[in-house]
Amino acid sequence: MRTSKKIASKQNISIIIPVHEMNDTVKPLYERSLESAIATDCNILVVSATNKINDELLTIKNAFNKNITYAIKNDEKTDFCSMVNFGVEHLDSSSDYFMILEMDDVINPQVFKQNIYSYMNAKKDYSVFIPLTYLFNSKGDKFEGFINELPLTPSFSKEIGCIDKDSLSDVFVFNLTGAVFSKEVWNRLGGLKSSIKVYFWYELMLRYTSHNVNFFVYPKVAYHHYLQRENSLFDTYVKTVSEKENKFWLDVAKNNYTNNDDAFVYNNKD
Amino acid sequence: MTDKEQKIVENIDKEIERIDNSQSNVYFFVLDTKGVPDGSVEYIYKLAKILSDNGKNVTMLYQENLIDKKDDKGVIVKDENGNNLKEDPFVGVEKWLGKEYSELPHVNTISTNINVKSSDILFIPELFASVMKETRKFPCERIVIAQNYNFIAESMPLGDQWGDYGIIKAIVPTQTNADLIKDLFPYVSTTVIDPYLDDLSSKTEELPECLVNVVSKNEEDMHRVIKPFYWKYPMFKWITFRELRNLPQNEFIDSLKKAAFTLWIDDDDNFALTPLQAMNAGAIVIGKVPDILPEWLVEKKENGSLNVKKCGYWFSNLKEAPIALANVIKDWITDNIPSEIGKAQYDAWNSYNDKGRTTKEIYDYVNKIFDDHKKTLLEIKNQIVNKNENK
Repeated sequence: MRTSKKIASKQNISIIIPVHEMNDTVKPLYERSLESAIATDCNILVVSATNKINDELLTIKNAFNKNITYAIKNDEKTDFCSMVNFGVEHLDSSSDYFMILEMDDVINPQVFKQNIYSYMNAKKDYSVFIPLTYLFNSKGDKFEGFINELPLTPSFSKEIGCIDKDSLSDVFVFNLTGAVFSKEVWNRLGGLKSSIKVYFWYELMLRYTSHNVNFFVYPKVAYHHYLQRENSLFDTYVKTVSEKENKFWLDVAKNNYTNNDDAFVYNNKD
Repeated sequence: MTDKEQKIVENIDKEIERIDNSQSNVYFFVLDTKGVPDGSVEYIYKLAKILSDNGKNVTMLYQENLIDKKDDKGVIVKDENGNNLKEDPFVGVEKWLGKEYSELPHVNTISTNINVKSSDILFIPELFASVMKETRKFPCERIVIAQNYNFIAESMPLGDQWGDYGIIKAIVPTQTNADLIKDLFPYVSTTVIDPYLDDLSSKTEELPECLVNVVSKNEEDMHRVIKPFYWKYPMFKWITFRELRNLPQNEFIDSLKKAAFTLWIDDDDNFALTPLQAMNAGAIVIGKVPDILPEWLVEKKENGSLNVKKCGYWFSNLKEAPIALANVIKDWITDNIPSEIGKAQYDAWNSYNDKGRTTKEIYDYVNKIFDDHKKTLLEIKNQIVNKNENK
């Protein structure tokens, strides 16, 4: 099923930044991230894990002197997926599209602004727009390679840039932070499943493409992703995941995308 | 007046009448590219088409030995007397230039005799030194179309030059070509007939893909660039190269429009049509600076030295190509292509987006040849008449 889409404009894309920790290491990274988001002229929604962090975030907000909206998540579910879902639930009603910005990643605002609206208007059959992404080491001083580049090869799928169900059978790793999602599609097909580790984006992609909602990778580097900081929550987790467990989560993703009940956790709550 | 003189005067009158009634023929010798697009042949066909559209009797000439006709199974077909049936292997330009060009009259000079008159004009590409020699006794005006400097030396037998074959006129696509020919054969009068490009930019609707089209005269050159590019820049292994050689013109143009980049390597193309077409289609050109620089590619600095214009990413030898490619791709995916390149690209192709200019140049040129010939004929006639009146 495909619904009619509003034409994208600068006003209706919001940027969600989930923040689950704040300390001296994270703070400058978050400030860099926030600064890049502000430069896109989009609305910004910061999802704060606890009230304590929120106080720190308000200080930063005041320093930037910009209109940033906050959503405070006080329950125990502070994993990435839950924070993202919570953020989407709390978006302004005027936001037809949104992007997830990891708190230590960076948007390239010029590239984003110059391209996203062109691609959204030119590729009206798509509801999710993924940027070609630079991957840097955690210090940010070494370029490690590209992410999301494979769909830009003609042999990947039916159209250059397209990620459809067939093309997901062999490629599992995409970075969807930095991607612009249609809120209507997210609300219809569900958000991220926090029950699935490691491959939660992959599960979402399988679920969406099985409903003929395809993803489009646009060939512009609008997003810089930084490898996880040493001792960060994700880093600690990834280090403990064995190859066997990794495969387990991949199988879980592959076997659970047809069921989307647990992708509506916040909708159900409301 | 003697009978011979009388005959000459009659023939002169006939030729003048042919010129006045636009019955003189304009012949263009062409190479059969066997369906493969070729910028030099395109230039000739475009000039021929302009003249045809403007009322001239244009005929395209070619030389192809007839071959045995074969059926679908490859068996030679025979007539009722048991003789092998023959067929003309000429392919022509329909596949890549289209019917409007292939439907110009064509004649195979090996299987068909043509009766060339003195008021006709015969255009011969620089590659056809043998035709220049064979036709040196022809009564008509013979003009060389010289687009490629290298071909002149390659095709002429050692010790011969154009003057030996009576060639004293040439048309060229660039002033650079004209200067080079003047340097070789000072007695040859050269005229620049500017090529023209059809404007494709308004037809560009889709956003370009991150692909590299390759237009390289030699396949080896292409490999000398692409393989080292992947070896040196493995992070770009997802970049796809597409070779455009042998594509029909419409597919060629479509491909130029769909890809963000065009890699061009052709030292023999003195006019460099492909990069201009690519620029017109909105692609960024990564090109090897050709040995002979067309004037659209160079600018004169205050100190008199020549600079390659910044209308693309240019490299001077193939070793530099991978880094040029990596730089332009990096700049494009991050929207850092210098704005001056876009402006220079526009200026470059737009300077040849003028079919009216080309039409005027070739039409005026041909008419002047006819007028000059008519004057010469009249002078000869008057000399004969005056001589007899004085008697």
